[in-house]
Amino acid sequence: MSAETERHAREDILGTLRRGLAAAPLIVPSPPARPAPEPITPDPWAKLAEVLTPLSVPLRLAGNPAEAAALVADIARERKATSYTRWGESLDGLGIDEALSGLTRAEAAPCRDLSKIDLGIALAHGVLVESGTMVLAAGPGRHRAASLLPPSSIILAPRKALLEDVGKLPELLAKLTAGGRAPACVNLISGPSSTADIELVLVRGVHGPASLTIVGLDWDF
Amino acid sequence: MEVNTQNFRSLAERASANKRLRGVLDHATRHFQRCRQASMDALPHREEYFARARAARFNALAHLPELLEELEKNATALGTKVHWAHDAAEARDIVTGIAKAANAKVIVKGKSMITEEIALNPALEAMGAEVWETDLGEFIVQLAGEPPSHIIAPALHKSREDVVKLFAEKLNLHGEAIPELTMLARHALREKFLTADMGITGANMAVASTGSVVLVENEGNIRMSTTCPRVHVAIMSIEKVVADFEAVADILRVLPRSTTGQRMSSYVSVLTGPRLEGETDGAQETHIVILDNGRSRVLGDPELRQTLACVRCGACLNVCPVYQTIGGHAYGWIYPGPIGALLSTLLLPEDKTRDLPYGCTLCGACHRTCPLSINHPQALLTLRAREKGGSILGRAHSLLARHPHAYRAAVGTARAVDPQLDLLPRLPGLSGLTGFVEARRPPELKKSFTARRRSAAKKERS
Repeated sequence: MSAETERHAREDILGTLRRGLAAAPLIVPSPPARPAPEPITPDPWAKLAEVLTPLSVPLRLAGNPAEAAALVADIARERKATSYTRWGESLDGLGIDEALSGLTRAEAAPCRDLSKIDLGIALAHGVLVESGTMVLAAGPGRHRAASLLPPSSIILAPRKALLEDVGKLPELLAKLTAGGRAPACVNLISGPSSTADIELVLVRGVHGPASLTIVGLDWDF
Repeated sequence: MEVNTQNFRSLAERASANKRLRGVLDHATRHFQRCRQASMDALPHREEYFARARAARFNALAHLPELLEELEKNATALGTKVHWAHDAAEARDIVTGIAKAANAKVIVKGKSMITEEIALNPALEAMGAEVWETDLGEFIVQLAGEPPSHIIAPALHKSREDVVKLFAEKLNLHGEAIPELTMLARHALREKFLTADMGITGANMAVASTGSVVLVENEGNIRMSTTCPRVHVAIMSIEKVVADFEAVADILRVLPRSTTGQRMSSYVSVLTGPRLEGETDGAQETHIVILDNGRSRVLGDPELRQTLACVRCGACLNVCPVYQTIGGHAYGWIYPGPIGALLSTLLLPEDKTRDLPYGCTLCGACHRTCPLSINHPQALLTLRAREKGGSILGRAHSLLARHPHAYRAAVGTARAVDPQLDLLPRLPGLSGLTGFVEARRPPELKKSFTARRRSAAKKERS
């Protein structure tokens, strides 16, 4: 369609909207203040685990980098993974590669090159405890495919990333944008890939990972 | 898809006689209602959250032209190409133009009502592209050559046995159990995602303040469609824009709960422009197509514009006794249930939707269930009044109905010559009366209670 036709459509649509609202203004009453979120203290991990359990998402806690790496290796073994891909720089200091030394690591790459990888490892920038949601901001070295293509997914959740609920999302997204451009992709992940499209029977892993495990990083990561 | 709304009456009659369909609908709608109720019961401050979601949507409608301009400005600044379309034909032209320019041979689609509304697939196929619906339910109905039958569960009407047969016939894939069938679809579609040149999705919301598109799903097919192909096209109708992420948060609080009873859907993607330098996945070219298709006119109508606030959670379908009886296909187009009867009537030509506003018992269950308090019955009554107000019979009936004495006199006269009111409509020149009389129950010939009381009192006195 020509640029001229599109410009015409734009002017028409905006004009009709403006005329309609001028003729019959839409007055919207102020909504009530957003209710204060349920507190997640004193034990936010327990709250998170309670929400994740019905989603079939185990939460495992690590008190230091060595424990985190060991947990990742345990999960890889349980999932019989022979290959993995992980986010780069942000996870470099944890010793994951050493813990997974028997597995083949695939670097961030286009989807086709990661299609046969067994395990993906990524990091949450925020965790909305009330809904068990991991917020992941993609970027260079933080590929979207890591939490999507492999059949098994591990998301590392730092203690300082724990937030009450979706009401904290605007603030978190503003932080992720601070000082520059917004991330091109932010994924909110609340459980494994699932469908109930045939006779309402729940099946995990229809397109994304069938298994998701959260490793809580219970120190100042 | 073909518009068949003009046959709503006959389709509804046929569907309501289908016992198997009614069994499926009963099971499914009860399931969705149970999930939703449990989730809502567990949500503290529910009314406040509903009010906030409602305000987010209605504020967006109140500032729609400014928000669309802001969305365009911010999305364009980050490298997304924004397009505008008056109607379905223009939107199809835009998307096929993008596909041609990208030399797209394989196209994957996320579940989207808007692409059904503009009948996009045949247009893309006509230019030689392979188009794959990737939501499992949509994939099933695509293979069956049928339209979706529920806003959030497109293949609701299909049994496991239907899917077994379909996969064997169309894909030569053989499975029996539901998890096995699901995995067959996963493998078949995974290959398509990896070879696709272009991904097409709708948009649950578009955020004016950042130029982002927000997509909500459970399967991951939308993430695949926006992560693997090099081009992503998001098609949105004008009303999908919201001001900012405060509004997104307020809507996300109630949308998944009202849809499936989840606190949050498995995946919510916030996409803002093409991938950044150094990223290895995500679309390198991004487009947003803003479609009107009659909605801008609806915004100027104070009685009907509430329809545009809908977030497509589908909860109104599940509680509707009409939908529970006839299912989605009987509505004759892509939008079923109370919201479908409204949207179709507002978006399609008048002569095709005359009966849709009558597909409602006015029980009000949809209004009570809608997280945004859309008053579907009130809006449907408005449409009825307008439709009937347009015909001579309707205007005459309306005039008489407002004057009870005149009404009684007219019906009394008619009854005097034709006691069953079955002969008059057959007279030459009065054929329009048949449908009119069939759809109404004129008052019986006996006197009103007050008149009978008065006459009894008079009798007593005398």
